[in-house]
Amino acid sequence: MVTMFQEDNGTSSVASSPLQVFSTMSLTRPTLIPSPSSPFKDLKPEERGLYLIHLLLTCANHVASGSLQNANAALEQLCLLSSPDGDTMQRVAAYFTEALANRILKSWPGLYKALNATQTNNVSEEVHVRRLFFDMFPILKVSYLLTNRAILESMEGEKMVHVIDLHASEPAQWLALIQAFNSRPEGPPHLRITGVHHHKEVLDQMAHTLIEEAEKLDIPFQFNPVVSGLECLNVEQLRVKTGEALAVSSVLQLHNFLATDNSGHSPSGDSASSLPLSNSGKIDRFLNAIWGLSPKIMVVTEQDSDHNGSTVMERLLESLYTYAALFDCLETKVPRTSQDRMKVEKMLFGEEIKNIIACEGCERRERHEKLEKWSQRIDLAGFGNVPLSYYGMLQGRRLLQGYGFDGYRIKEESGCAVICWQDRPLYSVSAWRCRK
Amino acid sequence: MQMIPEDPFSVSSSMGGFVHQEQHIHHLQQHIPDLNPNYNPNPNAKPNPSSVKKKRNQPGTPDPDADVIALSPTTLMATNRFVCEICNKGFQRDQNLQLHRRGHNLPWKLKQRSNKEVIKKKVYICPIKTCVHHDSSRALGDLTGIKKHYSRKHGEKKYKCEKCSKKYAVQSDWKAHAKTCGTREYKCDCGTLFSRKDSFITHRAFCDALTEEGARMSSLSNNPAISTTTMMTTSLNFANDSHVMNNPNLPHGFVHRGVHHPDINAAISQFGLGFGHELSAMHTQGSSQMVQMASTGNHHLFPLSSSSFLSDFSDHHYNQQFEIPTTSTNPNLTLSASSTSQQTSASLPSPHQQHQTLKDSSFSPLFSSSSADNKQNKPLSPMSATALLQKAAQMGSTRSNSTTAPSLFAGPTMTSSSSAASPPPRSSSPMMIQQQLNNNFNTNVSRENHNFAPPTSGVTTSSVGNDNPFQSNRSGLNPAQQMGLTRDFLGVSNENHARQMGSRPFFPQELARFAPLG
Repeated sequence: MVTMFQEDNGTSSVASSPLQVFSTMSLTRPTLIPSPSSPFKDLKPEERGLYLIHLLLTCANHVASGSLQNANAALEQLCLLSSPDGDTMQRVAAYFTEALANRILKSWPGLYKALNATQTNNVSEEVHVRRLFFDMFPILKVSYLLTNRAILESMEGEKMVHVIDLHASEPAQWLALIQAFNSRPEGPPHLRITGVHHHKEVLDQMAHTLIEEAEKLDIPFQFNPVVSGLECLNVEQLRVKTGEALAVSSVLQLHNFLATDNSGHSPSGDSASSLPLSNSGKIDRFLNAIWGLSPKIMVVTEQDSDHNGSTVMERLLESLYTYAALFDCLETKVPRTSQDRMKVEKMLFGEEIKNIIACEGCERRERHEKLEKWSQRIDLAGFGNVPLSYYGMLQGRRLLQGYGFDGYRIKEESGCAVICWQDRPLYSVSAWRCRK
Repeated sequence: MQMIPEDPFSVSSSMGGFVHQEQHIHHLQQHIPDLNPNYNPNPNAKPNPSSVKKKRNQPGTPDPDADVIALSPTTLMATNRFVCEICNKGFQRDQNLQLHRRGHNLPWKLKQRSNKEVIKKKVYICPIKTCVHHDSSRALGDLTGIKKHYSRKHGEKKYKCEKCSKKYAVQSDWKAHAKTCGTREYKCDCGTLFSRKDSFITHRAFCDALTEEGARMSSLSNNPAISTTTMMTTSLNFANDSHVMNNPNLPHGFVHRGVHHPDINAAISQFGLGFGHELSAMHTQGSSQMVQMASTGNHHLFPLSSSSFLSDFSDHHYNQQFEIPTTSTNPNLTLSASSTSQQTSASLPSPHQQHQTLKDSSFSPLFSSSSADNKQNKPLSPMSATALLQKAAQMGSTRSNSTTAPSLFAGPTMTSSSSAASPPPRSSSPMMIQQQLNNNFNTNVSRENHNFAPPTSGVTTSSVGNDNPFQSNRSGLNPAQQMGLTRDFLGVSNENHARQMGSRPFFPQELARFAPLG
């Protein structure tokens, strides 16, 4: 009755996923006088959670195979059970539901665009949400800590230091660096920071904060704003001068370069290093351009999850785990009623989920990949790994302890740091030098 | 009218320059070249003998002995009055022009001012009639001053600050402003920026964020369980390599005050300082509430106490891996909340312990916990999404291995049963999971008095999981249907895949149960 057509390849490797099996299992429900109106009222939260998972997977199956009627039915049930202000699983499910619905909607491009026609981009909200992410999670803090430490160590003895921030949105990172440079034994170097961002106001704010700090500490300092999207960045705009030591910091930016239209073949999951890298092109050009600047150190922070599978099912399975972990973090730290928490969930994670699930091709920019793949890529581009120092890792761990971000761990993986939540790797920080 | 004293020598020597200057003054006074001759009033309103010590006059109130000079707007705005005839370069001062003329090998003469005569003070008034400084009693004493005043008040504002768009007529004003623009700012905890101190203070008085934080802080301090800990928070001890628990540090917002270990803490506290107030606002909101919940939870939600736990915490030295006492009595205890409850129920423990437990309780979720897993270091509550996914995955994996029909909705018995039989550890053997599922299932089943015979027939092990799940997924619920545990409310039709699972005896009952959901 329903037309089932296969989704494009790569299925066999996912077959072993137990969650898939789960989605096919029956869900028996105890007792219950079945009441047609609200069959779900008396579900215990745990039951409801499991049921939500089941529904999500089922729905994704239907979406993937094109059986929209069934998908629709599943969506309806999902909407009944999930909620953006319920418990963790409900919230996660709510955003995945929306993403799946968006995916279906995209088969009518006109409809999709029309429904999003009046969406505006609020810069200050974006900035605010980013700041919330910084506050609520230790991830960025640890990343900045490790980045700064790597920069400090590589710049020992340098008199002229030029730091390029590929997404200059958080002044705290460089404030810390300025202070750290100030207290190094040989005194501060002449420091130049170039910040790249597509919004001028963000750069202005950053300039102001940093310059004030540098003046306070009386450090020779310059801030060069570059108002540009990263993908259309011309490295000439960065104005790297000869004789200065260059450091590049990239925080959660590189994965955007993997977005292309040609479906890069990328078999899922566990990174064996022999796997072909999906889609060269943009990312390689960019890495080459950076390599051309001969940076002394480049520190890359990226998500450490495989959300770049070629089928939506693969991506759903992986991202379900990842975002479940992230939402769990929030649940343990922030009360459910917090508006800020909902903002982060909706505007940051929700958008990422939407992008991962609903979009394809160039539109799908949240192409997170595992650390191993990134390491491969960066190595191929001519960079050599610089293991993060013991001291840096210690600082990172102390930071986690000190701020009480319990449940987080920092693992070391071939010289790189991986920030995990309850053993689920989330983000990785790695340092590289230009190998000539 | 000659002001030159009766000194023949001085007259003769200084004749050239001084007289020239004098005449200039005279000119100014009597008939002002290219200027408006109308203004030449006598400023001697108040006879005030000029004393030896010059006292400072009020601004705009000149020395009554001074000569009042009125310059025209043109003169006031003129920048370069002295022009070199050779190259037409303009200079503001005659002295500069003269020096410049030297370069052209032209005759030049620097005027010198004689120090012996009293120079009559000159004051200037503004030519604009409606201006305050138009009156001779409010004349300004400085030529530059009157020029600037004229530009500022009556002139066009040609210079604009980039940052704040403020406009200035005088370039030096503009430059001075640009130096300080935006450098001195006040920032409220809610994120709003102010350039003025008064408006900042006014805002803070009414700011919501602050009142919230204040409320939480005060409520926290009211709580005796926490107040002792807040006292201890000032000493952060990162130097302690061994274990966190020796640190009397409370998490989140309390952390970044009082840092001991210089370098490591410096790095970390940099982050604290850099965004301290935001962090604290955020964290104290979040964490303080959590901690508050935890502590109140200790008092109210978890009233029971089994004193066996006290022994675990009676000494100050715990290892970092907290033993999670399994309680079968109260499945609602979290791992450390339980420990905390023990403590609070039995008098206020020592601050160290308090810290420790508070630390735990604020981090481990306060949901009901059945995952009292001593083996692993992961106190995942089944309510957390991660735990749910793991459970689902386990069920999926055991599905292929298990001989029982897994029941997802084991109801409230799940917690108790799982607490009894060590709840899903990550790497448990299939048999154990099977057992557990059996338990769940059976307890569940027993409630309804059904007899679900475990479908042992035809359940092969791993092969099922590997080949079929995906196929089955593609077609929806077919395997389940095949297995007889159908939940066909999505209306998926059957595609007949060969299934290893045998048919189940309870198929019709299952269907009936789900009928209303279809």
